[in-house]
Amino acid sequence: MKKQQQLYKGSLNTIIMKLLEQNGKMYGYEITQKVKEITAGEMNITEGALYPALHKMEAEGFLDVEMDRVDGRIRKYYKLTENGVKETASRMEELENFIRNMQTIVSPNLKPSF
Amino acid sequence: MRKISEQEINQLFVFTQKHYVEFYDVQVELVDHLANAIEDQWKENPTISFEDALQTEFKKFGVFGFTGLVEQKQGELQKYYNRMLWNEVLKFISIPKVILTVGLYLGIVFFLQKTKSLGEMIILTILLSSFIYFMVDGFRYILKIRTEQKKQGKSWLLQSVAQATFSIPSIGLGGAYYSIINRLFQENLGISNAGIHFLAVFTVLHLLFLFVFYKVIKPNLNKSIKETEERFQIV
Repeated sequence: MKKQQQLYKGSLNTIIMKLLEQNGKMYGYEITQKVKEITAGEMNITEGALYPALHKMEAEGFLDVEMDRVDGRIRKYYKLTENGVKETASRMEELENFIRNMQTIVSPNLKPSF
Repeated sequence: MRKISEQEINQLFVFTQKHYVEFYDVQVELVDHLANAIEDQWKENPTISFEDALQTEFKKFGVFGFTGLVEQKQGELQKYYNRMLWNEVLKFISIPKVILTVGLYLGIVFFLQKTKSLGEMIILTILLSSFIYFMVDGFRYILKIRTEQKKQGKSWLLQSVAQATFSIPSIGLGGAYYSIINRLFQENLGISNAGIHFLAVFTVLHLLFLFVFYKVIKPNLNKSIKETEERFQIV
């Protein structure tokens, strides 16, 4: 399990961007829960990794923020900027290439489905 | 299902402050995160106390708690403004703006060659006085931010980045300008040909950085601080 976390680590930003692309806007805690839900608990984004990743992408201009009042507290939502949308597409392409190559290495006879 | 009360939200704010998060915008995000996580714990086990649930969640932030998070965010924003500064300065050494830069450089060289030590004194005085202006203005800017923070009772992370953006060059370049003061008070100012070119390059760089700083960086910082304030005013 721990070793697998290491494998996911390099793709953390791409995963966050893809989730934002699919869901429009999300807040930090929601992202951690969504990832847990999708991967059936296999991937766990730690708080110590999530916020630095979000803050870095915000500073780089890939994410924009929006505030809302929910349950008596202020919630900070993240969403993709125009540049963020373009970046997501290019990162997804890189990731898909990576998966394809890994698949070829791991099981050369198996064709990936995408 | 048990929900976080208003009083508990206030407790969470105090908790983040106690763990060295002084910026309101960062506190807000952490408070909401902790509140969500605690409420989720209550879904599983409604008897767990607020304090225990909070400690469990805090541990997930690792040994450095929130401090690493704040520093990392400051670092990222500092990098962003440094990149902005360099990109703008680099524009002046690429076409078409490079014509202006070369023109300025040749103008200074020509001026120094014609006027020798008097010219050097004038250039050094310009360098020194503009640097002093930058320092005084920086000091006033930092003071203005502090007054604003006191008035609002809140501080924003970006304000700390703005303060650093002003104070780092003042401290870092202090030595270079100190030697200018020394040179100004020397009895014989005679400057060599190589010295003329060196001084011209230094002056051009100095003026470029100041220009970009006041034309791009400072307005951008102010705009972003204002945007942050407005974002929080809406809610």
